[in-house]
Amino acid sequence: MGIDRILLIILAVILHLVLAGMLLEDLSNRKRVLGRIKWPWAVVIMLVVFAGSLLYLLCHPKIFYGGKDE
Amino acid sequence: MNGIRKGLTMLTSPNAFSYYLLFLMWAVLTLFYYFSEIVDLAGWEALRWEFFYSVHDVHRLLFLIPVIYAAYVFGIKASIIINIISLMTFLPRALFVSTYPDALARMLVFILVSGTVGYLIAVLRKAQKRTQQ
Repeated sequence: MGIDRILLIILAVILHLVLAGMLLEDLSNRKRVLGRIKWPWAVVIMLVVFAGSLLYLLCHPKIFYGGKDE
Repeated sequence: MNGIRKGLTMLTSPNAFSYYLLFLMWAVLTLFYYFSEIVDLAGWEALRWEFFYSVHDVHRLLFLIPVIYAAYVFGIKASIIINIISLMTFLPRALFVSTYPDALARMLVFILVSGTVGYLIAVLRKAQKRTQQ
């Protein structure tokens, strides 16, 4: 495995953690989430790399505008 | 004329329509970015155009559209998130597909530029909104 490939994997991990961190912060501040229970969203965001974050974003459009309530 | 103005207002104001439009843009661009792989998988011989198999710098440049749109409509946070999503979209190609050298460097240059553009647009839009109020 070349150094380029290792750096790309490290970059992917960093990106996942940054995105997950931003979304988890939003999740913790949010009063209501889709499905009402927060912890499954936290698990999905953390464990399902990229797709989990994307799913959370698609289900909670008010992350970009409006308040924390859904 | 009134209809066009209404449409523009809807497109440029932060609402659910512009939010999902942003993700639609990203999805279409992702399909475009990986179109050569889709063509290979589906075996669409007629669509094997040289353009889809060349260096993907031009294809990547198109991702500036959702970044700029997110920055203009939603602000800095949205711009950062769309930048991260775009970068994560580029990674599989850089890791598994690209045969060209310096995939990481080219990707990082793009993200540096798009991040700066997104930030500047978000700041300008915020200032513009403040003066309008």
